Amino acid sequence: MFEGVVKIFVDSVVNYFQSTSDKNVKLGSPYLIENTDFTSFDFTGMIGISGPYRGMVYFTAPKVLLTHLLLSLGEKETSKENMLDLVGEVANTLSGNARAELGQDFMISVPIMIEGSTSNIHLPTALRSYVIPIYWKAYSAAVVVCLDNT
Amino acid sequence: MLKLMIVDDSNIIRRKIQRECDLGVFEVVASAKNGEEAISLFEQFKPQVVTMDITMPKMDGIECVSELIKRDPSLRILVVSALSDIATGIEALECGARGFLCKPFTEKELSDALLKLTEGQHV
Amino acid sequence: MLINFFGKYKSIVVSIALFLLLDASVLIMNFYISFEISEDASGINLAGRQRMLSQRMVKSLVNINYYLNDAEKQQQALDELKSTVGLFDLTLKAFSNGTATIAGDGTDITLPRVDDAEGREAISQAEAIWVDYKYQLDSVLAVKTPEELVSVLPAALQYAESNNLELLFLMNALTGALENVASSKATLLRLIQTIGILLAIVNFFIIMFHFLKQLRESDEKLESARQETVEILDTVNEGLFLLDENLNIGSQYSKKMSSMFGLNEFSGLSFSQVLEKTVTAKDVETAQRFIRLLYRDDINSELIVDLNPLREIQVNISGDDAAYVEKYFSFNFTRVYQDNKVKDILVTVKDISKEVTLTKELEYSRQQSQKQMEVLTEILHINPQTMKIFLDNSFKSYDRVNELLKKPAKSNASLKDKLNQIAREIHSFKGEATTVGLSGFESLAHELEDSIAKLKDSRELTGDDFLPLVVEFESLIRHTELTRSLVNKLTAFSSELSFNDTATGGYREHDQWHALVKTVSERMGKKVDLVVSGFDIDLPREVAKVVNDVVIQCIRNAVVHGIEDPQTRLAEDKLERGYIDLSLKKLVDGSLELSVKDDGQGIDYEAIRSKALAMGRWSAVEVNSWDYKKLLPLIFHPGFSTAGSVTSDAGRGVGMDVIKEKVKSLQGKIKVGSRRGVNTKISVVLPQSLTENLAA
Repeated sequence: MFEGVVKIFVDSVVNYFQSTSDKNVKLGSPYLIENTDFTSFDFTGMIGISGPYRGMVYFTAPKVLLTHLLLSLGEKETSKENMLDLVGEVANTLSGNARAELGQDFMISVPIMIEGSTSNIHLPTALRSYVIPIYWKAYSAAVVVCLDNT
Repeated sequence: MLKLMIVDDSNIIRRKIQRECDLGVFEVVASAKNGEEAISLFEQFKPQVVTMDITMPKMDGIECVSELIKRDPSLRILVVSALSDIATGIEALECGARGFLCKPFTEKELSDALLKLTEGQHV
Repeated sequence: MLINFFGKYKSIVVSIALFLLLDASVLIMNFYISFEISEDASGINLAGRQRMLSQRMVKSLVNINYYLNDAEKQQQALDELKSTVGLFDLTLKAFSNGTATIAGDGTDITLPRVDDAEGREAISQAEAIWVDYKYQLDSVLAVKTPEELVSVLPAALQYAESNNLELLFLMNALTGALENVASSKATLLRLIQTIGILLAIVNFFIIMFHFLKQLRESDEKLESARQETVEILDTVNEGLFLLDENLNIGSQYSKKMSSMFGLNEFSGLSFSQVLEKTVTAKDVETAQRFIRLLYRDDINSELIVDLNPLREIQVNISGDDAAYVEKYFSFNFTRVYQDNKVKDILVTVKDISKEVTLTKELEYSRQQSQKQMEVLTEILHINPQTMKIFLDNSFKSYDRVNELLKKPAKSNASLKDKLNQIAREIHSFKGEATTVGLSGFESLAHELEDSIAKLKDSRELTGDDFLPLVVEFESLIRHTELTRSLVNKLTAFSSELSFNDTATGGYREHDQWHALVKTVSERMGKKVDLVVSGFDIDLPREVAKVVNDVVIQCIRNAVVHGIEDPQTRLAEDKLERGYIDLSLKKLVDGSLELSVKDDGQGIDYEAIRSKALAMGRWSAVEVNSWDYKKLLPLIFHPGFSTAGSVTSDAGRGVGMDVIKEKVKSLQGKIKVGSRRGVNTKISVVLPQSLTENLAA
């Protein structure tokens, strides 16, 4: 079950990348991080989850990846606003797919977007998060799943 | 005395209900271990009150409730089931059952429920 | 039944009935008297006719006398006299006795007997005259021959002449008397009508005033009842509202609803509109079906309480950020009856988060302690030192596995290679668990190996194939953590009883560090356990010296700044005893990681900020704009310390900056991680070359 839930999130991000001109997206093997601090790249889009598992899921990517992603989507303006917009878009996809697949049993929050690393994030009580690296072109981003599944 | 039929696939539960509804109000006329048997015993004994399990082999409780209500709309059916899925319980009520008792139940819970179920029917 | 139906309207019904009765009686009186007056009117007419008749009689007599030689005209006069006398006589008797006579139009009419004194007098006088007069007239009418007529006519004429005027006068008087009676009746009628109208007006005003007052009073009562309702709805600490048959919310609901559901207006909204953002779609649907059952009157509501899907429901009230707040509501549905029919459903919503969370925590701790018991029975028969080593090695092994997972690998070949390395790592871990005799660990590792074996079979590997494996790996880590916390507790327990850890490794600084923690914590009034692991690595002397310095500074900081005093810890639901985890390990790449982790209050950035302000080196505007990334390096700033006062243990601020310099001199790096209220972890990574040199 937990695995299935994580998979839904990962798949929706992969699908998002596959909708771009460069469909060649690869997943790295997932690994664990301790939740001592919020771990992220430059831009992050995040959704809150409650239900059988509680916590949050976020997509985080470095600026350079987002720049290329914007360009591949035909957007020439690579401003900070557009970067935030883009991670928000990915988070929306996360939220939408999660709603469609888990809506019966889970509550999914509206996504929020964050620039940089911030200490204001209220980390859930789960001890560790799963990091699923995403490789696209020469860059890597990640889906981080921080759910309390005890 | 009101004629009562017990429908449950568990022998233990059937015996437990039989023991505990001995209130001087009900007479257990039949006990069935699945829906199909319940229908044929109903035809034979014409009970006025039924306790009904949901998950049973051959015809399940929901279908059985519908069938019995088709035959006698005034039949008082008490669904006695584990509360794993509330929606299923509600479905049984929508099909015409009049009450729900959660398994496991105590002697008092069962007798209270049966008396409430048959309120106004006692002579 | 009818009385019940009228209920509070009884008095208004009585008043209206009285009004109608009054009207009816006035109407009846009116009708009766009008009838009488019309009767009187015909009496007056007839009395008038008597006057005329008396004159006609005289005229007829004179004509009879005049036409003595004209037989035809004489006979005509005689006939006229005969009918006039008959009519006069009949009518006079009718007035006197109340008998019938003939009206002007030839019909029979019965006159009321005249009882009025004046009338009576006139009648009796007229009767007295009429007796003789009639006798005379009758004798005239009775004659058979003209001779006979000539003999009786003079007497009659003479009588008529002498009494005619008197008779006319008397009939006139009768007419006048009858007119008087009639007019007094008309006056009476007017009087009755006036009184009737007056009474009706009085009644109307009574009704008006009485009922207006009652209406006002009941309006006031209603208003004050409404006021009370509003007050109740404003102050009650629960969500209260009514649902109609279409599952729409009524116009009145408690104020608490807004904060509970994060909506401002509820009136007219459907139940599902309110719930859809709060609970799952499935629960909304089930709840609607449940409420429809409540509208069915063949179901006893007490028999379906167990089917209420919202009796204890986890809700999601979206806040400002995505962060999730765990809340539980309890919905209670009660039927509201009107005329024995279910009219509405009263819904009560209670926030039961505290109760549920408490129950969950109890359940969780019960489960935890059960797990702990299982683990405890497993570890109790294992040598403590062996256990410690095993745990140390486990975490090292996990770190290696996680590092392997982390290593970027995109191709099938590199992923396969990664899988093989992980398999080897897990296999040797399993071997160790078996050797030590920890069957719990062994079986968890075994499951992990099974998953790995499955993956090995697949031809093409992708990154996400590793997911099930990582999930199992995570639960293995969790199991190990649980075990370690138990072991730590046991260690603390035995050290309390002053059982010394006899079998220690070669690194003798341990005792010194334990002593330091003991001294400092006692002085600070704190209770702290230090757990040391991994110091069995041989290090060059200068490295060992730096390590020792770092350890001393860091554990001192941890005791002074990190770990809270026992009261605070208990208040924050932490264990009374604080815990410092000190470890030294070799990373996969050969570098050395020293970490000092405490479960204290974490780094207080605001305290750093205040201190920075107090130092006066930077402007307030500048300091206030700094985020934690900017604030954190300050702890390594020369002369910086956040301890409240200077003690021998901390507050002099000579520590961290010196440490930084020393680590720097060995090309090492310091990392600080902290979660407010939870922990602080300081790790120092020293490059591989340091240990390699030694090996060379």
